[in-house]
Amino acid sequence: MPVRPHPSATPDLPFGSDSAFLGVEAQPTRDAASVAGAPSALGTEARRRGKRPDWRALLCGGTPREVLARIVDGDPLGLRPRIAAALRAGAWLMDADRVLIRALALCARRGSTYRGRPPIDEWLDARVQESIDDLLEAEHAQPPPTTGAFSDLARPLSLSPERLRAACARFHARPREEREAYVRLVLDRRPLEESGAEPLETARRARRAIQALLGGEGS
Amino acid sequence: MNRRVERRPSREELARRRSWARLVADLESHLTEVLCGFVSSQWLELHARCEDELSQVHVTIQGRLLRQAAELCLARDSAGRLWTAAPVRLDAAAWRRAVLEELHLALADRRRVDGHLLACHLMPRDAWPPAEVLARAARRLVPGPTSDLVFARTRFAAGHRREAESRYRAIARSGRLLNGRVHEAAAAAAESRGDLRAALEQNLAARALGAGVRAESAAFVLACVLGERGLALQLAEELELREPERNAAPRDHARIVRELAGRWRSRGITPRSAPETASIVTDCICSADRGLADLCYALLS
Repeated sequence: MPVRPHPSATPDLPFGSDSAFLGVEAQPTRDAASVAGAPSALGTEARRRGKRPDWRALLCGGTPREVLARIVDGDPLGLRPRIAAALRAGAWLMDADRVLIRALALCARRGSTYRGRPPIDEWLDARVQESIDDLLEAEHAQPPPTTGAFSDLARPLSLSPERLRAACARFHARPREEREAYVRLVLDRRPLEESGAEPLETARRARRAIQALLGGEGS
Repeated sequence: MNRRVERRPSREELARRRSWARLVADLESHLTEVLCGFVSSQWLELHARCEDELSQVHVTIQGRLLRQAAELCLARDSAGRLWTAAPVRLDAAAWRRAVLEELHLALADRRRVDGHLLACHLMPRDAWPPAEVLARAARRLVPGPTSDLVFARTRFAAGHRREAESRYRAIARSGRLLNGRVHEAAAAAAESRGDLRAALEQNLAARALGAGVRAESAAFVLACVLGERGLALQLAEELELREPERNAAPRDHARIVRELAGRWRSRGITPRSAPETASIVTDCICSADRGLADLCYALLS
């Protein structure tokens, strides 16, 4: 009997391959929660009502693998918006899907010993930050996966995903002010006049960040 | 001409065939509904990626614990001490608890456990493998600049000072460390060749880029050692103004002070003569109430 893929069977992992950078939040195209078990339904319901995730139902009991199986489908912990906010706050150019996968695994590993302190929101933010830090640390050491945001973004631009990733790594090594200036002026296309008291300095910072991306003298 | 004439089925036969066809169609549609979520290749791929990532998280945590084990070894070895980039929050009991938790969870997940980590957990600290071996194992599990830094430090402690310096320089040159930690590596390189002034400048650069309390503490001590009174006082005040960190972890703050004073003593640096210096230093070491500024005044007055 041929088994047709169900529309809801697509995992709602991606932020959307074209919007994965800088954590631009995109709604998942399809909701995997409808094919998932009770925890996912729980999480979806919690999100709809704007409530905190029920961490006891999701994180307590079982091994990290079992916890992971409960939290993968439908993002019941609400990690996506947190990742988007953290990437934007830190001005990181990262593959948000990759961060999500690491955050899920970290939540599963650390969640099995979580007992409600610190509060769940704070704890989840810490896990997201830990994921970002881990991936930044491993950025230079390990080859990136061949699929994901880097290859999706690089292919239509005729760029090499590996060189694009290396450019982002150089960008991440720049001070935060420079990264923020780049995001504000180049990615968000905000006018220079909105840059506060030092527009010239902001422009210089953005320029240094661009040079880092291009592998020039600023890097 | 051979023509096969099929006999028309009877009405009962047709009804029987129709009911079978309906039953098969119903079953097919029900099975499609039930199975679709579980046979989607994307769904399986997502779960497989998460499982792989969980394995990677276990490996990363074990690598980090090995790195800390190497740092614990170095903390007991006065030859391995640099002012720069000193680990200030290592607690052997907390480390043992973390190792126990990781071993328990990794085995529950049927993941591999590193042999060195297991050895460190099972044996007393005196019987641990050398810091260099632990740092090398950590670097294998978690390759990256932080592991390289720890490994360079173990080489420094083992007496290979030139090699350590070149390793520090290589880390600094690669620019792979974030938030000013590249300057910390450069400072460690300078300090390992005995150029304390360059080390101070690099630590100050790291502090300006947000390297945090580690760079500030190192810069403070180096400023004291070099007799930069004004700078040392400024740094001491800045360290004391880190109210959230002090409130969140007063014991850690006290530990920083103790660590600094301990290093001071281990280097054989004698504070300049000043009235009540000894009692002030003792106060600083024994409690977090007296701050770094007091210690600084006492040592530099």
